[in-house]
Amino acid sequence: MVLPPFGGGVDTYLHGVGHTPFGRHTARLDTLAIEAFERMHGEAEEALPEPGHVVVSSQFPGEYGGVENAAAAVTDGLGLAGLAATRVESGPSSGLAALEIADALIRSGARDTVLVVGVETMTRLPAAMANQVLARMATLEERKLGLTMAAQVALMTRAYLEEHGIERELLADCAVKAHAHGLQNPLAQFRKAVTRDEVLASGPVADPLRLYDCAPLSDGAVCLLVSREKGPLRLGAMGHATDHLSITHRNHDARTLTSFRATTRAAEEAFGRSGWSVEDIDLIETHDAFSLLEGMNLEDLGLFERGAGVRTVAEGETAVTGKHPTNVGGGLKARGHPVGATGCAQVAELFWQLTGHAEVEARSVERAQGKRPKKALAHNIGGLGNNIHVALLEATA
Amino acid sequence: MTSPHMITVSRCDDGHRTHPVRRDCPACGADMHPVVIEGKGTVITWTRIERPPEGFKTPQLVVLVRLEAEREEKDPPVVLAAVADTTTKVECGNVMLIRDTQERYEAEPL
Repeated sequence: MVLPPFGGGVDTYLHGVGHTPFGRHTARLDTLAIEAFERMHGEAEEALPEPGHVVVSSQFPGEYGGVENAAAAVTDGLGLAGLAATRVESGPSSGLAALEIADALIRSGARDTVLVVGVETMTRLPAAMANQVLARMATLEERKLGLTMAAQVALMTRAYLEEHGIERELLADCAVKAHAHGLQNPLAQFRKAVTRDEVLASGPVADPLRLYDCAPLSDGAVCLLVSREKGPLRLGAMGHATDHLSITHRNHDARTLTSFRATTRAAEEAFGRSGWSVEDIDLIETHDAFSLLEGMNLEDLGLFERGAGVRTVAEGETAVTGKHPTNVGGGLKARGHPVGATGCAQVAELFWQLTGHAEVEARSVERAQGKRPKKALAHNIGGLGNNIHVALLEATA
Repeated sequence: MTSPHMITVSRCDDGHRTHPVRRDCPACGADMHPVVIEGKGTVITWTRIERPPEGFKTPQLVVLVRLEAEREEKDPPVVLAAVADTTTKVECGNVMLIRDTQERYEAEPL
């Protein structure tokens, strides 16, 4: 698929990122955003261009953070009152949704520079309440069954294991791999190694998924500064696709239980606009909210054959030292998953890795692979595979 | 038929069916209309939820059932349903009957 470029020759560049630690914070939503913003300015080597618009990604600022009118609250908190400010939401893929809107504002000529702020505070509610809020992403019929996001992915996980004859232990190995990466990330929520046996012995959540198969509830904020002025990373292209809200309405797709076709559609759009293919990608950030997903997503993105994803991840091919380094900051599983900030955290990791930043020294892909990655992909899922973004990024140096 | 195990699904004129009822066909986009069919089919995946959302008892047992295809029809609908007796031993391939309790869809082994 070849798609026309858009933007009339304007390109979007990433100039700087700021990332709070992920985990439990007592700070309010807008205070966390300030910390991310200060970190961004603190680590910038040159003066950053001044934004004309703030795009805030936060999925549940009211339910989780007690803050409504979040775009104005965050923008005022950052000392940027007067600028245009907008909140966007596409489920847990809101972070890349905010980047998509920022990109469109720049390529349209409306703004020269846009600040993206992804922020979420999820740990204030008891877990059962927090999961009830997340479960509202499903249909009413599904919610009446007590289905959580974990339960919906559990249904897919069982189907994947049965269809492809995969041992459940390999899923545990995917979680082990994520934790091994998280150990090298000072900003990660989980900075500890786990073993296969510990994953398999962790508490049951929704059979076959156990606690260590699931990303945690997290607080955190990430800022990204994007501009039409040339910067260290170019946003090659983005892709975006939805699917039916309920998995049962995807019954005409033979792979409905073992893939997210919106991932494939979003990737096709991004590759079609950029002229790149998956073989060009040196580094991937993918939405591994559950242990099935890193492997399954990499199949949907076209990197691995159907049924090979989980086994390939379990065997180490996506480790920082592997052939296809993926989620080297720990992924959602170990870095944490403050839903509105996750897509921005993926982009921040890619920014650091592609620019050889000191922040990622302990997990440097450049050092592990012997050369610095040049092209990268971020993949961010909303809901049960029903609102998905892909972003392609390229180092300009 | 007076069987309690009759459920309403959507069907388009091209023979695609899906559940729950919806206006447009997810396969071809055509208008759909409700039809009542027997809620009998095979478990294709299931989960026992040990950490349900606020307001639900622990555990919850949920099955995804592919309804039996009538010969001339295309891809059969699939239905998500709760198994009320959560001690029920469930495996993929089990045949289940589904009914609409008005509150939710419930499945029980045949």
